[in-house]
Amino acid sequence: MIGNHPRENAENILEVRDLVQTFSQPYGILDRLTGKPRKTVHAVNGVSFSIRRKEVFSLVGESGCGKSTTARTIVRLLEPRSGSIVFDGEDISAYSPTRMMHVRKKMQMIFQDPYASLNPRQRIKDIIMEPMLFHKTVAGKEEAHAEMYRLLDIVGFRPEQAERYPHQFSGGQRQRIGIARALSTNPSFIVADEPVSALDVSIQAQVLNLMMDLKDEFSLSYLFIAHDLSVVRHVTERLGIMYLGFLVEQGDRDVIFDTPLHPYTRALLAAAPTLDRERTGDPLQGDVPSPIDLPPGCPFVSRCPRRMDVCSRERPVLRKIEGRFAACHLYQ
Amino acid sequence: MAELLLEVRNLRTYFELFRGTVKAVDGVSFTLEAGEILGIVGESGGGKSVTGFSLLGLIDPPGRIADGEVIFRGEDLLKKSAEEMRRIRGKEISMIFQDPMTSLNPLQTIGRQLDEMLALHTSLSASQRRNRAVELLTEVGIPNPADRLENYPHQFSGGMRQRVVIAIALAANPGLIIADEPTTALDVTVQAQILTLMENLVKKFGSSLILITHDLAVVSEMTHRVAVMYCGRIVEEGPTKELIRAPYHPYTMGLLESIPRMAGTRLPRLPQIPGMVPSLFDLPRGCSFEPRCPRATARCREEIPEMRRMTGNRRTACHNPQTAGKEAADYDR
Amino acid sequence: MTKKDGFFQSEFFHNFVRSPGAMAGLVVVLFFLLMAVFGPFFTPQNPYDIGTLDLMDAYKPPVWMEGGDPAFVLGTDEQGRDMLSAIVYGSRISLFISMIVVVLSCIFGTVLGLTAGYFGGRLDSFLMRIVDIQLSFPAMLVALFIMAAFGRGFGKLVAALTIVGWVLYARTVRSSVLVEKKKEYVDAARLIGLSPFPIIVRHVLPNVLTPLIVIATIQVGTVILTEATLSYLGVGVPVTRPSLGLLVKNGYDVLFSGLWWSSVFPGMFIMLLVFGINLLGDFLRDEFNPRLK
Repeated sequence: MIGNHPRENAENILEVRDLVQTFSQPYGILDRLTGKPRKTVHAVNGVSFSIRRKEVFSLVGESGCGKSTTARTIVRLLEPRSGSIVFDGEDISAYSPTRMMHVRKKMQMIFQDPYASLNPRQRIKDIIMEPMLFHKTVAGKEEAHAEMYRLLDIVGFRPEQAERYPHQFSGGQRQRIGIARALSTNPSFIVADEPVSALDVSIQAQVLNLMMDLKDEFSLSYLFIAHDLSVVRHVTERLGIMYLGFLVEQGDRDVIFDTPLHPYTRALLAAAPTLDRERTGDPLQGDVPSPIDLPPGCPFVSRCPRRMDVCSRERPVLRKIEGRFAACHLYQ
Repeated sequence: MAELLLEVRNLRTYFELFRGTVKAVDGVSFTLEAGEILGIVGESGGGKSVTGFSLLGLIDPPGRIADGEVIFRGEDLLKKSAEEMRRIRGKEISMIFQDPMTSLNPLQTIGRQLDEMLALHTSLSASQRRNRAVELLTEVGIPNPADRLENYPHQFSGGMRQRVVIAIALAANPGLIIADEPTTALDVTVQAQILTLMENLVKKFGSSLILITHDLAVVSEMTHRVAVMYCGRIVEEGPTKELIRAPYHPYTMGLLESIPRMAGTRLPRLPQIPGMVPSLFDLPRGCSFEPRCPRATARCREEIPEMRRMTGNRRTACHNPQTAGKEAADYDR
Repeated sequence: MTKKDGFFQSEFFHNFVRSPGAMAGLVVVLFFLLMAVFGPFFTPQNPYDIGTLDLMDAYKPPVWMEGGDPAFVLGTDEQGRDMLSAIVYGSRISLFISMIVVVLSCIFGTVLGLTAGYFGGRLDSFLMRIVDIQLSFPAMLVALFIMAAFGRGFGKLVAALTIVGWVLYARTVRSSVLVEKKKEYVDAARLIGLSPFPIIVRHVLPNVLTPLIVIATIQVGTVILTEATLSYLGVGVPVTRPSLGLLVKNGYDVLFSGLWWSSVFPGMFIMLLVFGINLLGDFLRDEFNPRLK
């Protein structure tokens, strides 16, 4: 993987190198005795990318591609199997919970499900104040309250709504509360895991606009996880497309959307229903293969309309082609 | 001019809840011809799913169908007995639900579930039914159909399961299929497969399809006509291409505007409809969209707009529609 | 959403007062609670005070029968104790024991269930194996064994019943914790950097309470029955302060000689109390069941 990454530099708030994440299938004594092979889910297979400060970078793919797992590993909700995560100049991949403490206030997350991401038994004000009180980014309770009201106002709520509980709000409103919580400790980096996928279209627009406004106002960087390409196109500056735990194409937004190289990227763009055009016939066939038994060659070989012999033998490597990175034998 | 397969007149479905009455469907009327694909589009709470369930009489207390007629092949379904409706469901009108995980019985093989459908609504013998089941699975694109009859739902992927659901829905060759968000739970590439499949099958078998979805893009690719619902009422209806290119109703316009595009100029900010969908317990007195409408007038606040015919076969319920259907691309940029 | 916010305007209260079962259950339980608290002031006699008993009063039938005495409305037992008074005092004992047992086993079971559910892994397996082992013995047998081995006494009885009872709470709480653990608000709490203890106490625990309340309510009735059975078998409460169950036993000896009232009345009261509790518990269970979206 040499020579495929932007140089490690201070411009990057996040640099991920060769990140690997696996999950073991439940394996008990009986399995060991009967000689059953140990199965591993290869969720993330050597993913590398960087995010610059004040940049929006997206990871895109369908279910099971590993984008969410990557995001959760980066914020250390999961322990990485191997690889490095350099955040704001520090390699946090092996940090203990104590050392992670000062990192945690700089790095926050917005979740997908507005109905599960807020504690139903906590009032909105406590949800928002909890992080800042814990990290002591405010001087005391009074300042916490002031800050909380300020954040509520920024995301479009009235002060009296602070006393309410999550179930009294709609999905879009809950998502905005989640955003306020994420801003609680004044972070510089936010991972947004499918933040608008569960929202209606008109609410989606509100939340996306809010996120973009906040990005400018607070100089935030986003790692934006999504499966909806039209949403991604609107918010992101650079993106990476994942398939079966691999990054198959990565680069600037316009380059990828205008001239996709990888057959999977092309299939993804073609499959997305849009208002602007007729559906082109011949959708991509087959299903995503299992991440347990990875094929030896290219992960996409079973469904690729342009596969060649070499594709089932040799795994392609991310190389710089035509202004972006792609992992495909067609271009090597 | 094909005959009318379905005519819905002034359908009203209300839910009597503790906090009040929810008028989930409040005076919905539309028609459907044989072989036509109609899209019913709207956001959550708009009433589109409840409309679908009402057509089949699948409304349980505390909901009830308060008014209206659902005239299918000349007969009002709402006046039919439970027994008669049971015979119609599956045989003449079929439904496909959103979640293939829960619409298939996890404890029965899919062969058994297909067989059950065929046994109920056809007079085929057991071996004939088996052959038909294999045929159906082939139609929906499941490889090794004969073997897979013995499989259980959990042995299929999400997309495959939805294909099975479609096969079951088509088993008795119904004249009308109602599909409620059939691809929402599926990945984008699988969604494309399933939509293509549905389109082809509907054409092949000559059935009509009502596609209920929140996704305007899906509707734009697949349907002949579309009805847009907001807070229990249809606000606009007409041929899909025309409606999307030049909507009359400000809500339709707002929806279209707020959808990010895959091609064309990127806007720094997505146009958004201000405000929120009102609580269904507390709808505005006049037009439900008035509080958020850029074209609202005093009349809109007082009077609920009636559906009226605009040009051709386009209708809209609006006191102040965009004249001559303003192009979505030009709107206030 | 409704503008009214008080408990008395809530859907819960509305449904409660309209449910015949819930109201009936409430009436019964309130009756017993009031009887337990204020009864001793109104009973004709204190059945524990041996001095007030007169053996000459033994086996008097209820007042409406031949030979009945208005001083002893429900008759007397073999020691001359007024049944009504004995039942009042007995209910106090039964309720007192079962409530303490429920509280203790609930706390103990919840703590273990939270731990097993949240941390998973070997700890979870270990704790759940203990639960499984214990559940494979009939509860009665376990309690019997403990009481037989360690002798009678209030404290030992409460301990035995608690040991028998905690597993149900642990199991239930653990299931709920497994569900809640997957929800994103728990991830959000971890992301803040909170350590497991505050996450469990502040975030998980409040959200697993609902099924606990249902179970605890119904368990009050179950424990009353278990205690009654143990007392009946002679290993329950000490004879000096009979619970309803012990009263049943004491009267059992003469049941078939036609002196039925000293056994049957306490039995009926047990039945009534447990029935009332079950009605309440059933209502709570249905009410807290997540239904329509």
